[in-house]
Amino acid sequence: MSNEAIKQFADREYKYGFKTDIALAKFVKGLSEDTIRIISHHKKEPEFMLEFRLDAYRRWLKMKEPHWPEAEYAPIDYQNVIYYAEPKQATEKPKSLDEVDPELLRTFEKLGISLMEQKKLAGVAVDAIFDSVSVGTTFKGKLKEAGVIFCSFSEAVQEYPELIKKYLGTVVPVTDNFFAALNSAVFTDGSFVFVPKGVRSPMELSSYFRINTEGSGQFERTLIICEDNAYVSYLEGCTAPKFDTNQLHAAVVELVAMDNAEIKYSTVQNWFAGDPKTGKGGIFNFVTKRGKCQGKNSKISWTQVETGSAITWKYPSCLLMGDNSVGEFYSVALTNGKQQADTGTKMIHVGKNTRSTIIAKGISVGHSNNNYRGLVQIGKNADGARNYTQCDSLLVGSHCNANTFPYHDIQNPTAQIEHEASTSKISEDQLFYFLSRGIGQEDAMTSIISGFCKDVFKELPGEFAVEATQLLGLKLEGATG
Amino acid sequence: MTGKYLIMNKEMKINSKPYREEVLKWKPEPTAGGELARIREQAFHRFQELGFPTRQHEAWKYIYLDSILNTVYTPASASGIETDQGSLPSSVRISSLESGFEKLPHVYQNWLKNRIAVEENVFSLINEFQNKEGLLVFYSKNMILERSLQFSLTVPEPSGSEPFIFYPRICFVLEEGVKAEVILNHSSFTQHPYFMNAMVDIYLAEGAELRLSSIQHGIADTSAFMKIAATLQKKSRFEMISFTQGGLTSRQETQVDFRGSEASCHLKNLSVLRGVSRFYQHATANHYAGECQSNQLFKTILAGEAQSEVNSLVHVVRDAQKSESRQLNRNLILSDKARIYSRPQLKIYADDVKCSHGAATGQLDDSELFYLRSRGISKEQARLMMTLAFAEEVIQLIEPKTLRDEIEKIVKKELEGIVKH
Repeated sequence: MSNEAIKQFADREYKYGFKTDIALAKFVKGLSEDTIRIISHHKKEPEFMLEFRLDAYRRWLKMKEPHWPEAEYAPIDYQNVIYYAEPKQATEKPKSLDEVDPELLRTFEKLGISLMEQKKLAGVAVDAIFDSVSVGTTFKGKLKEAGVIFCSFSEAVQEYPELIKKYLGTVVPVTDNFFAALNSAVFTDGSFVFVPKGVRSPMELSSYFRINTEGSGQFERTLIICEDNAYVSYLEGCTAPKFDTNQLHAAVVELVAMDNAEIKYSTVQNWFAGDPKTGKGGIFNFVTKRGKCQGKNSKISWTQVETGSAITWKYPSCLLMGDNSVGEFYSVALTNGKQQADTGTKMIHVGKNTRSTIIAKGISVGHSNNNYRGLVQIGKNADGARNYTQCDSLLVGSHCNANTFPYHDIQNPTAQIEHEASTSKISEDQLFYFLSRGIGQEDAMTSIISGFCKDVFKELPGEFAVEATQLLGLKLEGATG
Repeated sequence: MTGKYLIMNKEMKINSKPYREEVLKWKPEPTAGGELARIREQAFHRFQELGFPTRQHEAWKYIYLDSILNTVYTPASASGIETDQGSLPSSVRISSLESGFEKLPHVYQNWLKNRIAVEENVFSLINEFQNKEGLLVFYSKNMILERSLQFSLTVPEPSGSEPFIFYPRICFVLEEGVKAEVILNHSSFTQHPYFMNAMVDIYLAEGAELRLSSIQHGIADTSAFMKIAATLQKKSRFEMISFTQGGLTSRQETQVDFRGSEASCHLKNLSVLRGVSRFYQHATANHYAGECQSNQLFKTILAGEAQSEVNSLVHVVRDAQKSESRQLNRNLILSDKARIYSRPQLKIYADDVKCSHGAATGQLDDSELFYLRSRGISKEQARLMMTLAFAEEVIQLIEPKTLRDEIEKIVKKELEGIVKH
């Protein structure tokens, strides 16, 4: 491949870099117990939430920021982060989407998210999070009819405090890691999903995260619970405007699946990645995502398409506690410019006959750094556990790198663990084949890369598979040569 | 004819402090001079800077070091290396590292100095300043030695009942075009508990080829650390076949640095671990030059309460184009209490490479077992056949035949014991 082609391939613009000028009602900068009290007060939270936050904060103070991932960044000043930013709205709380600031709705429209009820045809329920608060959730009524609770986390705290109290922090404990502790102390909003016994959610659920305010951090918290025989498919998408300063995104996602329940969690992450040439700005995406297959025959499936963020550091994991439970992880991580990604999964097999599959595809372009890091742990009592792992890396250009760090910890003789990995570049032969048939370099490369990611894309729910393919194409735009 | 390169501890010093404190008391010998003495001081300072590793260090995450660091070890009364050198042609020289180092051509002296300056393994650094008399084996240009030289790491007459410690050290330098075979043997010679901290340096000049067979067995009550560091110049080839039964705490670290293009290395290991045997295996291939090939195959059979770690890494630096590497780790777990940690890792900074790795852990296949049983073979016999077949892939590579037969016998006996349970 010519160097020119690679250069053009690597030079592409971030489409979602615009900023919405919208008045902020409240914002809180700096971190202290007072900050936490203010956040809790603004949200009119019950006492147990404040205690949960303060406990997390006190523990966080004693923790050290980890530096083991293969990522380099300037130290984060935790006092210089806006912990709470809320868009100003006409009324205190919008009763319906008609009352939401039109500017805000336009933002989401620009992002291709249909918040307006008339766009029901899209057939997907959306919860949109703007900076620190949820601005609206669609299709609430229809979902409620089916018995599915889908609302913002703050609403859930008000309306279903007993559920929050029961499940919050049970999958990702407060002390799990530095960023999870920070999130537990200061999280502002997020989505809450509860699917009761025997209910299949009638539609795909989706939340959309947008960081708009410069210097603000987004600390969202998502909690999804599927009771016995229930099913839900959930998708999140993320963007942020272009700023020269780094922004911190430290989210926590907790999933709980009971007997025979299934949760499918898909992410298309396209946070602003920083300036591709200087590496300035961009989101620090330090996220803790974990699902617990608590019940028998339960299943949790993570699918992620990671294309944004200056630094991505996340390992969506499965705790396979219930017998015969299944964990899956499908991932595409595309890094370009000066992006750094250290991502992978943890499959912790505890129950008998538990199975897990890991398919991870890493694509490094430009001067980026792309790492897969994953753990497969088979506990003493996990008889008959199975794991299959495949992680492939594709290098485009000679200034990027791809690392693979798989960890296996096996304590049971009946386990069957297979791991395969390969690293290579786009083959000249494949490219030649396309070119000789009159297909341009850019299309050829996009096709080859889409083919490389096919195993993951086919796991995404219908429309999102299309979206992800388009996003990848967009990211690879400008590759003509 | 055998050669013995032993160092006698004339004034038997009795240590009273645990190892972690004793090591810090090192002082350079007052009479020592020359380049090697300076290197030792440098190694000591580097050790002081780094300190002992803890579980926070990736490379030492699973190993229980306290059992070594808290033990009071007495230096062995005599320790060293025995060889079966026989009559050697004049183009192969075996001498003490002390006397041989000053005579080494500068290029090799510099190599050794530079290598030690960047050493990360703290125990290798300790070997560096603690070993009293290492061995230097030097092959002059284009020497082709048909038979293999055997080196045994040993303490001839351990005295007293105290745990003792010794630091064997061998340095192989192969000039251009040399072809050589070496057997490195560390097997039981005493019932006394001891700690061996060994270091092997290998330099292969352009076109040189070395085949190293490393055997470690019957050292159940022993803690044994060994670091093998090989530097490969253009078109050289390094092949290492190792067999181990582990020990109380046993660790082997192999590091291959490609410094010239078109070189290749082949690292193969078979571990058969039972009882409370522990074996921690680390292998790194650093592709600092392009067009090199590295191959790694690690097979482990675990029974009883054995524990093992297989940590392999292939590192391809920027511009080391056309590198090729393969890593394969296969583990057979035969008991409930055995445990394996496997980490086949890749760090790739060049795009025109072909690197693959695979790891598989499992048990004996039921359908295969059924096949054998249905042909009237007893369960025990069938299990033995299948386990042995798993091991043979590595055993078959051992040369010469006499050694291969010996290892096969040891493995067979060991597996017979394992499948009975």
